[in-house]
This record gives sequence, C-alpha cells and structure tokens, in this order.
Amino acid sequence: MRHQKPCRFCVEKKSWIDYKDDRTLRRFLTDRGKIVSRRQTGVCAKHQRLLTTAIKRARHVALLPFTTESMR
Amino acid sequence: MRHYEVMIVLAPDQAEDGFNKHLERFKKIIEDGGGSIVNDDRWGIRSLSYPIKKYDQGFYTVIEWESTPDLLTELDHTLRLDENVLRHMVIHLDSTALAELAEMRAKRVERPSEGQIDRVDGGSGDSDKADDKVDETPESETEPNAEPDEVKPDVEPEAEPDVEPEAEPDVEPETDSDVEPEAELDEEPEALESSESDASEEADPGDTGEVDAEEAEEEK
Repeated sequence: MRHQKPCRFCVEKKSWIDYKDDRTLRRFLTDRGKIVSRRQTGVCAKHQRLLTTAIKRARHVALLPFTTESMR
Repeated sequence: MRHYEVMIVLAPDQAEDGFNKHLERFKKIIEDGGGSIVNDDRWGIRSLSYPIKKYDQGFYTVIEWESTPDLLTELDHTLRLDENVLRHMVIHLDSTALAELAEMRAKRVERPSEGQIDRVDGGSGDSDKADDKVDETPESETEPNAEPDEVKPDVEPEAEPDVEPEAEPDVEPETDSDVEPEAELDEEPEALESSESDASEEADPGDTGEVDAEEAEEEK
C-alpha cells in the first residue's frame, strides 16, 4: 500500500479557492476541459468541492472552457 | 455591510474610454446605492475560452465593493441589459474568501511577475451562433457550505462553446510526487490550430500530464 499524499490545497491551507486563478484551475481539467476526478489528483473531498465551484464559476466567465469538443 | 465582487466582461471592440465610460456607469450604481468601492481591477483584453456573441476576446474587470444587498438587483439589471456586457458574475465574498484573497495578494507582492493577462490570441473565430437565451448557471448545485449565498445572474449563451486548448491542463498538482502516473491524459488533442499562436505555454517542472499535448503541437 502506498502512502496517500495530502491534498495540495490542504498543504497550502486553502479555505477558499479563487475562480480567477485560471492557471491553477487548469491543472484540474483534462485536455478536453473536463474536471479531473480527485482519485487522480489526490485532492481531498472538501477541497474538491471548493475546486468544482471555482471551476464552474471560471467557466461561466469564459476563463475556462466548458468543452473542447466543438473546436475544429 | 457585505462584501461583494463582480466580474464584468465587456465587448472588446471599443475605444479605451469606451470601457471606462461603461465601468463608471456601473460603479455609479454601486456608489449611489450606498456602496463603497474597495478595489477596481482592470485586467484588460484577454482571450475568451469560448466565443461569446462571436467575440473571441473580452475586456475583463473585477470590482470589489462593500454595501448592503439592496443594490444588487439594480446592478444586475443594468448589467444584464447592457449590450456591451458579454458576461457578468456577482459573488458574495464571505470572511473565508476575504482572508484567502488577502493572503494571495500579500504573496503576489513578493513575486510581482504574474499571469499572462493581456495576451492576445489569434484564435479562429467561427462561432456560428451565439444566442441570447437566459439560462441559469448550474453553480448553485455544487455550492459548498463554506461559501454562502452568491448572486450569479447572467445570460448564458448556450451556443456550442468553442474552445481554445491553451494552457495545457496538467492533471498533477505540482507538489504531488506520489500520484499515480495514470493521471496522465491520453486523449488526443484535436484542433490545435489556435493553440499554436498561443503565448500561454507554461513549462512546469515535474509535469508528466502535458507531454502528449506538447508533442502533438510540434508535429503540426
């Protein structure tokens, strides 16, 4: 069994995730623009919830994509 | 008194003072409603992640203020009716959010060079339609309890959101050396046309997730 690394937001002691920080948020999107599961990123449940809202807000104001599907 | 923040995205095709004129109008609404503006952060023109009303870029502004909730309806109404406003989003900043923002600002002073905000991008602008249907954003469903009420009024164009694959979405948090390499994304990045002109390539050390995308880009 591997030791579980603590979630990066926990390490930074974040209590709120800024939707304006699209560079950080992008780390948690696949190249198709989907939100990456926390199983893969190691984010804890609490921070995944905060992260999801932040990403969805950022998508709304076009800082982040909803999808890349329709690109051509 | 509550602390709010509104992000406004204006249509980019106007003169410099055109942006000012609009923003002053919105600020006046806040001030007339008894609010005091705390911060007015003009990001400038930035490329959108998907076209809105056939625009590929927008003029971003973030205004923070303190007031009672009374003026929100009027502000929202004005923003919604203004043709030049591509997007707006009002958010209530609670104490946790404020603390976090303050901390982030403190850090930002230490390392001044930050973010590519004013980058211009020659993305392909083929949005067939951008309609004006009013639609609720799905935000409220995922609202965590840490962040109480939020006002998110807007017009959501549900035209297919075209997207430029700019900054590679790397899956792994950089502090994470222990994460399984499965986190790698092996979906094929299609449509790289616009990403070539993109200035936002960040070569993060310790990234495995983005190798795919970069290679594909070179092939082009």
